[in-house]
This record gives sequence, structure tokens and C-alpha cells, in this order.
Amino acid sequence: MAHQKIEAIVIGKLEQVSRNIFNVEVELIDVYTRKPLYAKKFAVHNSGIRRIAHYLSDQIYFALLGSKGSFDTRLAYVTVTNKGNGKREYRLEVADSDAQNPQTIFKAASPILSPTWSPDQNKIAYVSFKNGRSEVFIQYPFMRRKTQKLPYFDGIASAPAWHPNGKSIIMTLSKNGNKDIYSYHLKDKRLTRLTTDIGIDTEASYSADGKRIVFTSNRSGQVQVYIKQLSTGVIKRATFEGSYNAKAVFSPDGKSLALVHRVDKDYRIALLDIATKDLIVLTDNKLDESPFFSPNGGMIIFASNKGDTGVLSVVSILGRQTFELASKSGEVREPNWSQYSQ
Amino acid sequence: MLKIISLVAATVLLSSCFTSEEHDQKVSTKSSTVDAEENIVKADYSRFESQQYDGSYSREDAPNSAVLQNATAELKDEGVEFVLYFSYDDSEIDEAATQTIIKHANFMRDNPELNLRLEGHADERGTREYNLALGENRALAVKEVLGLYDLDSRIAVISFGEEMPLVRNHDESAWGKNRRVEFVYQ
Repeated sequence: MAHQKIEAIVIGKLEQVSRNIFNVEVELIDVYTRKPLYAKKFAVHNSGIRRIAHYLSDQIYFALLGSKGSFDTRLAYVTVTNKGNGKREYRLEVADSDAQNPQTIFKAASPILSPTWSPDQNKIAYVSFKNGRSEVFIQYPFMRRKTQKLPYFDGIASAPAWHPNGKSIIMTLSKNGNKDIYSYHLKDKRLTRLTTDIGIDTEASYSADGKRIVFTSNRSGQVQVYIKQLSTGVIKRATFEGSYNAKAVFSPDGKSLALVHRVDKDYRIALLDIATKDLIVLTDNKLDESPFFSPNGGMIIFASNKGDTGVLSVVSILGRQTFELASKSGEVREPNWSQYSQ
Repeated sequence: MLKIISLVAATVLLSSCFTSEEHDQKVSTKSSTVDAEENIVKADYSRFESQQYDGSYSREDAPNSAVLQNATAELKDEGVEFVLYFSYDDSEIDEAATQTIIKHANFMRDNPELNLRLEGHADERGTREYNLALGENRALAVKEVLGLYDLDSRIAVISFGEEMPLVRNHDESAWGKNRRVEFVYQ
């Protein structure tokens, strides 16, 4: 990227046609051929302009790079603020992909953990302690529909993650005290046990094709990341570098994992090539948490907390450049990035 | 009024940066539609329902009877610990902890009307969900010892992972105090 030449220009026009309606016109022009690579014109309601900007960014990204962009997608994350007298306020927020336009969808005096978007972007599963213990809930942020609580299975219920078909959720349950990964089918309410080791198995999530799960386990005596091939039932250890690797998620192409990796006393975000086992540390803070891929796999979002400020950052995989998306007073935790709009 | 605003001419640097749309941050949160060639926009943020917290976890939930107060005060006066501490990523019960648990077991036998909640906690290092599991393992390890005294049915186990630290600092001294199991009688 040493010699950047301008290869294309975007020309846009915003025309107000009534109080709340705008005409939007966008053209992407190839500087050399002078031909349009992309052109679009439509009318937008005032409140939809931000969404349209992201939609157009995706279209331009696609026209230039031939792959889908991640602009018209949404984030979910948890914020924590001190309210005095030792009381804290937890908020589950959703925001646009650039962390702008944040909306609180659930507020509680007790911890909220592990928000995760459903594949259709209409639901968020998360863990709440509002009844005094960790339970998994499904909330419908865009619909007037009541939040649903998954049935109680005894012990902890936590770390929910959706199957790519949206029909079931995997989570950690500790029936009989043994923390294992279970799949819960939302419609026929069938519970299937996916791991049986006597150690801790948790933080499971699916590959995009639904054929594998990745999870954290201390079965070796250390906290490491494992992959289970669901068709064969074979479980293989994925991480060998370092004494603590956890909370891994598959990249959209299924070839890499983003995970939390301990370096001395610090916890950082790393990228693991599953086949070659090459591990690259991407961040350099004290306590980075919860990596998650952008829908096109080009970036990883993560949270870090510095003093009394919580920061959401993204790191680009190719350039390995980190930039802050948002910083908030208090804490920011566990960002989760929605899939592409349907 | 007719407004025409020219948008920026952008280079191909899009691959590594987000568009910044400062000007429209304060758009109304009313529902939106696009009657366009493409049916794409349904940013209906007005329908976000901010659900209020209803029903909280707090120590005040426990029955605060005089019996409970007196009985546990006596136990505390005897110098019996109500919190057990653990090593990093560990749920092992050492000899000193075992002695403490035995005193609690005797206390529970002497006070059959009381139930016990064991609350497991972890320090902030490591991932939240792993720590939730680890906190439960610590509480279960304590319960296992109490189980030798046939007290299982009177014991509830709960884990808060790293979510409720006793000390909100980021050093070994704080972490040591946060890796714990608390005995809460009710």
C-alpha cells in the first residue's frame, strides 16, 4: 500500500424532496475507463439514511473488491456502569456496525453475559442472572414479542451460540455438576449432549457450515481450544501454543479461529490457522476479550477495558491495524457481530 | 426547500475503514421505509423495547430471621471463616479449608432449619464463561465435602464467575480475594 493511486471515485447526491424524504443518488466511477462500476438511485426516509449509507458502502465494497462488505450489519455488546453504593447497571446494547446509533434492549442490576445474534439477525440469545442464577434468554429486539427463557436444566446454563440454521442453540449446562456442551432444539425442545469429558467444556460455537463446533476445555489440565467434527464425533485439540487459549470462534471461511490467548500475564486476541497451527497475536493490551469476526471475515472485533473506560476495537486481519470503534465510561464487554442481512 | 449535498469522493481505501456518517447521528428513531428499486431498509429502531430489570439478586432476598442472625453470628464469633479462597484456575480444597468446611458441617447439623447457599467466584483473568464454570467447580468442591455429612439436600450451589469480585483491583492481591466460595445461610 506504499503507492496509493486513486482508482475509483464515489459521487453521491442527497436531495430533500419533502420534510422527511430524500432522494439518494450514488455512482462509483472507474477513474481510468470513466465508466460507472455501480450506480443507484432511490428515495429514503430521514431515519433510514444511516442504514442506506451502510448499504451503499457494502455495494461499493462489493463492486471494488468482489466480496461482501460488513457495513450493513449490527453489533450487540454489554456495558456496565457503576451506580454508587456498590450497585452496577448492566445494559445489553445493539448498534450499527460502526458502533453508532446504540440502543439499550435490556437493562439489569445483575450480570448479562454472552449476547449472540441469531443467523436471521432478529433474535439475540444471552445469559442473564436476573433470577439469581445464570440462565439463557432469547430476546427479539425488533419485534413486540416477549423475551423467551430456555427451560431450566439444573446448574448453570450459559454460553449460548446459534446453529447456522437458527433452529437450535448450543450452550453449556452443568447437569450433574459436569460442565458440558449441549444442543437444544428450540422447536421440538430436544436436548443433545455434545461433550462428555469430566473437565470443563464451555464457550462452544459452530462453524458457518454447521459441521464443526469449537469449544474451550481444561481436559488436558490446561485451558485449551478443541474442535469437534459433528459427523464423526471426533474431537481434536486445536491450540498448542501457550498455556491458556479460550473462547474461540470460527472465521466465516472455517479456516481460522479467533481466540483469547495468554501471553505471560496478559490476555490477548490471536488468530489461529487451524491447518498449519500458526498462531498470530493481534493485540497488545492487558485484558482483551471476546473476539468475533466481521461477517466477511476481514476484521475481528474485541473488547478491552482501560481504567474506567471500556473500548470496542476492530483489528483488520490483513493489515493488522487496530482502530477504536467506540469507547464508553464504565466497561464494554463481549461484542458480537450479526451476519449479513437476509 | 430543496437541499443538495454532495457526498465525498472516496478512494479505494474502503477495505480497512468504516464510513463515518457524523451528520446523521441524530436522525429520528421513528420507523423508516424505503420505497425503492430495492426493498432493503427497515431500520425500525422505535420498536426496540428496553426491558426493565424485574426481580433482582441480592442478599436481602434471604430470610433475615433472628434465628439465622444469631446462629451465624455465633459461628463467626468462633472464628470460623465464611469465605474460602482458591489458587488460580483451581478448585482444590486444601487441609485448612477442609477443617473450615467440617465446622460448617457441624453447624448445619446443629441447626437443621438452616439451608446453605455456596456461591462460587473467580478472578477476572481468563474468559467470562470459563470462569463461570470454574466458579461452579469451586462451589461444588465445597459441597462435595459437606456431602460426606449427608447435607446435600440442604445445599444450593451457584456460580457468579468473575462477575462479582470482592475487590475491584487488577493485581494478585485482589485476584486472590476474588477466587472464592462464600457460605450464605438462609
